[in-house]
Amino acid sequence: MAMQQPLLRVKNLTKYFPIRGGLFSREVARVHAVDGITFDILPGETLGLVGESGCGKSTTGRSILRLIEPTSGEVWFQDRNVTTLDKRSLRGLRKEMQIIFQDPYASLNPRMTVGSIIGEALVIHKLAPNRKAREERVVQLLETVGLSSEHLRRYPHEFSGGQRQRIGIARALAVSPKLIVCDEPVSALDVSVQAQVINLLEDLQHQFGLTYLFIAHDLSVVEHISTRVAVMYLGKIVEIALAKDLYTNPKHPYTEALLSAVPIPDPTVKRKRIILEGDVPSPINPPSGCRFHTRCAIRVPSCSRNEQELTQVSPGHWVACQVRTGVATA
Amino acid sequence: MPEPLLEVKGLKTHFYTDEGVVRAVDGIDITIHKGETLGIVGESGCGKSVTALSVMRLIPQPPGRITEGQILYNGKDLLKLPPAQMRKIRGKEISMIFQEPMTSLNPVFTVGEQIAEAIRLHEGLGRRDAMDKTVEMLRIVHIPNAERRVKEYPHQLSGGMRQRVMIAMALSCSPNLLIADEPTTALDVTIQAQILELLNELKAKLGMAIMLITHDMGVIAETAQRVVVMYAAEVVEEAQVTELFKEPLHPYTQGLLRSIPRIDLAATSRVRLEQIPGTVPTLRGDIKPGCRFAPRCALAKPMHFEQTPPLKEVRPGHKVACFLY
Repeated sequence: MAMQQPLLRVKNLTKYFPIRGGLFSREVARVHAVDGITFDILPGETLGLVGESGCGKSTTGRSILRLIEPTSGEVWFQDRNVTTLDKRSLRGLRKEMQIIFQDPYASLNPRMTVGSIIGEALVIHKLAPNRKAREERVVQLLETVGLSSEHLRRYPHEFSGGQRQRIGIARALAVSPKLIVCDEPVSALDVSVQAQVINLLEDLQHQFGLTYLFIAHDLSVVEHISTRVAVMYLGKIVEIALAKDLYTNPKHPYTEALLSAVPIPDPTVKRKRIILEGDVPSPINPPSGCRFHTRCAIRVPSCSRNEQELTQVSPGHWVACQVRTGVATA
Repeated sequence: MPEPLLEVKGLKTHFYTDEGVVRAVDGIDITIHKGETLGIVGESGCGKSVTALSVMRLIPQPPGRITEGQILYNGKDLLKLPPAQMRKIRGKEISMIFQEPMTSLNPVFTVGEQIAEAIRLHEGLGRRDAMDKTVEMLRIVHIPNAERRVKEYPHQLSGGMRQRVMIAMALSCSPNLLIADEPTTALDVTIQAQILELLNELKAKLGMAIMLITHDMGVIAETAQRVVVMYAAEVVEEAQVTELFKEPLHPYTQGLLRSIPRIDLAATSRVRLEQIPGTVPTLRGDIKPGCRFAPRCALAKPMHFEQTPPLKEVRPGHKVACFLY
């Protein structure tokens, strides 16, 4: 593979949410939602970001777009440092980076017609010279996502969940972005409709050369759509690899447990399941050293002391586990 | 011959709303045998939860009403029982766990008080004995520090722990049938694995039958012995779990199985997901005759839009409602 310039580079991204309390609303604690993560996304690829609730995957997606302000770290989109842009330049960048949300019911304004929801961005970014041109573009977008011009003047409540998600996708596409953050785009949909939306996202990627950051908790969906996959646990990336590598040859004990927990829709498949003990610890007070050590079956004493760095174990396959990468120190 | 524990016959549960009648369950037959796990699978709005609530006689009335059918529990029609007798069965012989453990627990009582309440009511135990039994139940569902946990309130527990509490409550009176309505849907996948493992273990230990309602084919494959597939308020297919996954007959079941991405086939080639076109039909107002899946079915013929296919046994133990068989 030739060296490609990444489209997006995330360096040591961190987001702490303060917990305020007491008389003067002082900060009494912090939720370590995202705690220093680093990754790249190459043009045209889909990077899957998986993990369980509260692991920081959605916070990561939103911090990249600065829908929430990161605490520290850098996000580079091509040659621009997103984290230092002023409001005005940030707005310009919205043409390049868009987002699709999980809940197709909450993310569309119920008082706006589908036409104005999709057309709003065209107005803001002055992408259509007049009303007629704008409407033509909106119809074109509706057709791209499998809806039609007759839907233009309808309101979101008239649509099913799958159709609303298509509207959300059309809205994201309106500005012809290069990168789309898909935040659990199919989690709220029924299985048969979920396949429709996944196929649509794949078609659009080929058609427009889109790059996706695909955030989801469903490992099967992520495996299906992603080129590479990053696994998060308590605000950290514990493993990142090509989708095929990660799923056939997981290295981190958490990834192994996660994969083995997915129920397989085939009663003849019998697997050894790794059942993790207990629950995910609180991100307010994450465990010291390796965050997973409290539930890990292969831990050694130093795991509770040493912070784990991502280490490359084979080309493109990075793991943050000192036991598996053989750098454990007693 | 396995003995039937619960037989649902021709059940119709309708909701009378301002916008018309919603036929949430529209004439279904389901049998659960003693000690088996029956999976009921289908997409949102197919009537699987309403079926469960009908069995428990927990349909809000109005707007809902069971208009037709029988629900025979050990041969006795639950729909004909007076409320006082139904209360003796509900929670004691048939109990239920729900999808969202937080909304099904009372936030102002400790979990211990809530479990003990059911035990005192049904088993006639005193306060003290009931609390001892409660602690024992929490141990059975593997809640660590059970003596301390009984004094905690639901908000102090994690999602997985709450679901364990719900299971402890449901099993505290050793029911013959446990209805589990999407018991793991709100949980993360590693916690889901813990809960499914627990249900399997308890079933082996206590020998009750389970009606497991889910939309997840994976959960069905790993826990159920027999499966009922529902679509638009009707049963479209019923079979042993291995047979259903090996040879699904109904085009809807086939489509459903092909539309799920398969993690276990990751190493093989990446194929495009098959999709079922369109969306599920609305169950409000008059429903046109004909097969309800026909508008989305690639194999539908004009006749299928006019007549309703009956559910018939095409192989031993394998029933399907489709004109193609």
